[in-house]
Amino acid sequence: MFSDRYIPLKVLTSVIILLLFGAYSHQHGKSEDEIAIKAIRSCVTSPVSCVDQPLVIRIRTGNWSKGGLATAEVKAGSAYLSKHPIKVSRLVGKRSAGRIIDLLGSFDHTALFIVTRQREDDWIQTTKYLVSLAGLGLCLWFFTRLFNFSARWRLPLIPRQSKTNDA
Amino acid sequence: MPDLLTHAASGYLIGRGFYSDHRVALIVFGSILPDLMTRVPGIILQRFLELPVAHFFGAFHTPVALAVACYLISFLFAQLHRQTSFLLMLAGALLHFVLDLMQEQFYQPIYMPWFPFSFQAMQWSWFHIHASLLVTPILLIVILWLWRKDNKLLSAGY
Repeated sequence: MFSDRYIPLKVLTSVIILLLFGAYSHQHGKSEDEIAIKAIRSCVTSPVSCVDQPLVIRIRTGNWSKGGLATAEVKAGSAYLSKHPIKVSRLVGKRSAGRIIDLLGSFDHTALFIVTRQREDDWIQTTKYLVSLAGLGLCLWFFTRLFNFSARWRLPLIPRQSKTNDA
Repeated sequence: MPDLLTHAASGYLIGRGFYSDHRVALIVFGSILPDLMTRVPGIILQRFLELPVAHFFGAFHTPVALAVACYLISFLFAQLHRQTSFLLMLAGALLHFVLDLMQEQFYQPIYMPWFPFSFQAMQWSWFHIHASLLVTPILLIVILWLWRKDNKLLSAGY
């Protein structure tokens, strides 16, 4: 299984298996997405049909009322349902238009969307990306300090201390 | 997901408990591999180029696909080290997966331990999705201190 025999065949088989996994997951995910988009569309166009039903939606905020309610457009698939704006309650943060926010919540009997949880691309997410980049850099640096390419034609990686034994 | 620094640090700390040589680097590499295979292409292709690839790459963040990926990557190593490399990278990758299972997602779980046999996702909801950022500075200091200490011992001939 780990010998030098039939390496191209082993590599090709592994790549094909990974591609098949990806295609299978993509196909399944696509049909799940279609169901979710259909559910969002139906709830946004007719909120009373989805009262108290937990829903995860992405919104783009518009105007805010004095009472703290936001008008928002809901994203379904790649487009926003601009013709069916919803009223959102208990939204935390700056009262500005154009914020893109993921919401978990449900519609009440008055077609008001009550937020129970919200997520936004804010400084925390940016910090996480920067920290992750630092982690990636640190790992690659650590790895290159301990491994080296041998001089053989396929340039396999070998631990630095065993270079003389293996090359 | 916890950030990559937390994943790498956890791989380093656990790996260092067992080994003191290049094998630690294999566990560390394995512990960032799931995100290298899913988040990095996902961010580039989905967020920036708006290609619908999240589900495609999501498959690579599963134990079975990670085993295949580690097997594939093991052919980058000389035959002598190939099997060990595979096992240690896989151990690191599974450690990453377990850490991801511990966090609480925005709503429903997203990680699928039984793929490709089932798409059933699970989570243990032990900590918030951004909680890792709180321990990152401490982890960074600890691993740099340990790394420096190990290097000193190595150069002293221990």
